[in-house]
Amino acid sequence: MFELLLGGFATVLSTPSILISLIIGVVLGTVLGAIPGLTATMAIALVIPLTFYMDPVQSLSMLIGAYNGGTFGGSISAILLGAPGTPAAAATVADGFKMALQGKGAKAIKMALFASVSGCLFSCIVLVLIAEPIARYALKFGPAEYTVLMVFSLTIIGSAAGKSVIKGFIGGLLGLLFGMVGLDSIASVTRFTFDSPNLASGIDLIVMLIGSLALSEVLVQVESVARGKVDAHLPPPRQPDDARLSWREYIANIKTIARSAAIGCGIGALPGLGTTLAAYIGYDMAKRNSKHPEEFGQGAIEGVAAAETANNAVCGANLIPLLALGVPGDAMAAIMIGAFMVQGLTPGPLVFREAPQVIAGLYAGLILSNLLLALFVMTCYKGFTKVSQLETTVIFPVVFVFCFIGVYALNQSVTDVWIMLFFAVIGYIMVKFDYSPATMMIGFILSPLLEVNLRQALLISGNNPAIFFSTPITWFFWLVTVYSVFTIIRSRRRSSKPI
Amino acid sequence: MKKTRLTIIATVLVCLALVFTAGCSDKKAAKFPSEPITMIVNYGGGGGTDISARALAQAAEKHLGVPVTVINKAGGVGTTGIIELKNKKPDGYTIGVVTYAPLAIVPHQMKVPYTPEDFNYICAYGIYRYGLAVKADSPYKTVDDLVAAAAKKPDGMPYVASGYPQPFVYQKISELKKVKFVHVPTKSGSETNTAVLGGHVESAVAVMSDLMPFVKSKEMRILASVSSARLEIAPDVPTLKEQGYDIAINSYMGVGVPKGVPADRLKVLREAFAKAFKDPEFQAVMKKMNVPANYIPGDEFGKICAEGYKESAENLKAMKKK
Repeated sequence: MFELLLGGFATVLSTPSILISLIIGVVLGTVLGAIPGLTATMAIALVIPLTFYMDPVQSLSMLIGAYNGGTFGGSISAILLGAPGTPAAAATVADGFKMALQGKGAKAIKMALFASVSGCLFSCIVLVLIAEPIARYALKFGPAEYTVLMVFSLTIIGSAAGKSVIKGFIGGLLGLLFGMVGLDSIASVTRFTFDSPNLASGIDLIVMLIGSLALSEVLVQVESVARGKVDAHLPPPRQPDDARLSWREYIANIKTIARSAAIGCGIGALPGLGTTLAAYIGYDMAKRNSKHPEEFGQGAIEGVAAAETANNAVCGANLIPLLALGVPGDAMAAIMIGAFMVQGLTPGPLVFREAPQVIAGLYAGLILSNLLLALFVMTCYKGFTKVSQLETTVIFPVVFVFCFIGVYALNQSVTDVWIMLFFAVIGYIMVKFDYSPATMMIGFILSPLLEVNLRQALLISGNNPAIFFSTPITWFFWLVTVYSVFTIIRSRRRSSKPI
Repeated sequence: MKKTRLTIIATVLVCLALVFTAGCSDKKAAKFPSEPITMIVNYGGGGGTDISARALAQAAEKHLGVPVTVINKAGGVGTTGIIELKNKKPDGYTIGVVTYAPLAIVPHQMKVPYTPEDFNYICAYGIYRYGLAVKADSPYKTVDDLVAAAAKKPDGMPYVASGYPQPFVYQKISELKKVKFVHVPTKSGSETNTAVLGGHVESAVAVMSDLMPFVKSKEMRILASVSSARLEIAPDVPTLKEQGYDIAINSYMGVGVPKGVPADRLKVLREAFAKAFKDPEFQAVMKKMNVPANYIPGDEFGKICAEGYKESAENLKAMKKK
């Protein structure tokens, strides 16, 4: 394997065209990821026709570079504008934007960058060494196991809720409800669509995110600037240290980073869960295990590290089910299957035998994409932070327009634009009444996963709930769920906050 | 003075524009096509339908002499693009990919403003093949074995299938043999695979191109071809019909226009796409994507869709009754 991997590095580094594609992928992904409304997935869909004419390693390197860059890129706007560029960066807003408001924007971006790179490199190592056994183990996750995992995931709403857990649950329930719009995936009949075929595919996660987190944040910002409550600029660093990230700070967060990397890896290996959920779970776990959980949401650098490590760890780990089983973990990976097939390769158990060089090249490309990402962002981050020194009256109209363009470009659908506006209003109202729109997002992501798996499990067992206690994996997740609920209650008691 | 000059210039420009556009419309009537053609793909970019449709569009450009621009209108389980197509002017300048399931089956499951009668068909260019699969270490060697096992389960035996028309196979086997199978729907072909490989259900009906990697790696076994013919990629496997079950499902991808396109224009499109189908580059893409290329002339494809539309209504009614 290692000889092959070395060969892969040699191929990528010695072929200028591959290296250039990789650089284009990383840069394009990062920039599009950073613009709210445009996403890396969109960039990929645009360049796919070009990849017809490339050789497999070249086209896959470009895609994986854009995937990795895009997953990181979302954090830039999450930190500087408070509006996440991609769903994966939704969990980064809470602490990243607070840090920027304290003049520590550059520090937050650097933390996000090195956390992302660490997370992705960790998952690369796992991918290279033990992809096959992990993918085989992941097959043991059937509908029952997924259901219990989703029940556990619902408990992370508790820590995303902010001050009131009750408000958090209301937000979560609202999200669960919105997640049910569209075609009922079991009975194949439409629900909550008001007989409009435009809603039959349900609400797009990106449309929901741009509306409820990005556009609503723009509205909130515009209002507070107009009322003269905040300055039109983000404050400059108060001391030189605010723009730097020291080695010591990185090491201080190493436990959080390692934990998030492992969580991201696990989530990525299980198809269908995705980067956003990984980021939220990583953030949640960091908060629970932190000595200062009260600092989370107030500009804790640990929060940025936790969320960003976890989402980028998914990038590498998503390739585990993709390569070993031909099962795409998320929309990006599904597009990559298309890219494989155009090249006459079918991802799956045979691909290691049929095209070992291509796989080695892909591994090398993924690992190198991290170095390129670090290089690119470290040379250009000043440009990004300059954005935040612009007048708010310039930035927010631009972001506003990008939200519209991006959402329309997603499916060329005007309905999507209306849905975005609908969620912008909902998000705005939620913020005004101290509800966290993030809880709605979590509910929305979990809703279809929970429902489909629950109903599939009950169909398989003939409506016998014993199936949810039938394997060691289900028991494990029940125990984690109980522990999770227990810690929520305990921490609320300790801080004597109202529930 | 300045004002009058401006007015004169403006008037001249308007007249020129009028002459120009008049000329255009004359040309349009004389020769078809004289402008770029738009092709709506009813699934998202990068998927199997999209890639094959783009290859076909590229091949068709050569024979039409004008560019064919592809736009994706994904959503509504494949219906959004078809609705979009129906709402376009029937002048032959907008064509669209029309796939069998959203055309003939989905209208019975959700409200859509069309039936297969609302379109004229240029041709079908691809066919989906289906197989009935079990895990390689499964005790069931034939469909009869599976049915015998299901007969022993009064609550029914669960199986997985994503989308339609796959579940119709089990539904008809149930009717024939008076046994009960329980449909566990999945969202994609790969979810179907993992459910079988992970041992969560006994069997599945799926598109052959999804199953093939695991058949080749000897982790899955095909019990029967569920299409009307044996499978090109697994010719040893008998069809359901050969095993004594008179059942076959077929599904297609084709190209169509909104009803009402002038007959001469439809003829031009049909001829161009018939030639495009034979294009070696298009054929190579289809082969790479593991989608059997299969040409069916427009009128015949229209008939298949109209019949499938009626048949699906009955099948779905029968499934609901259970």
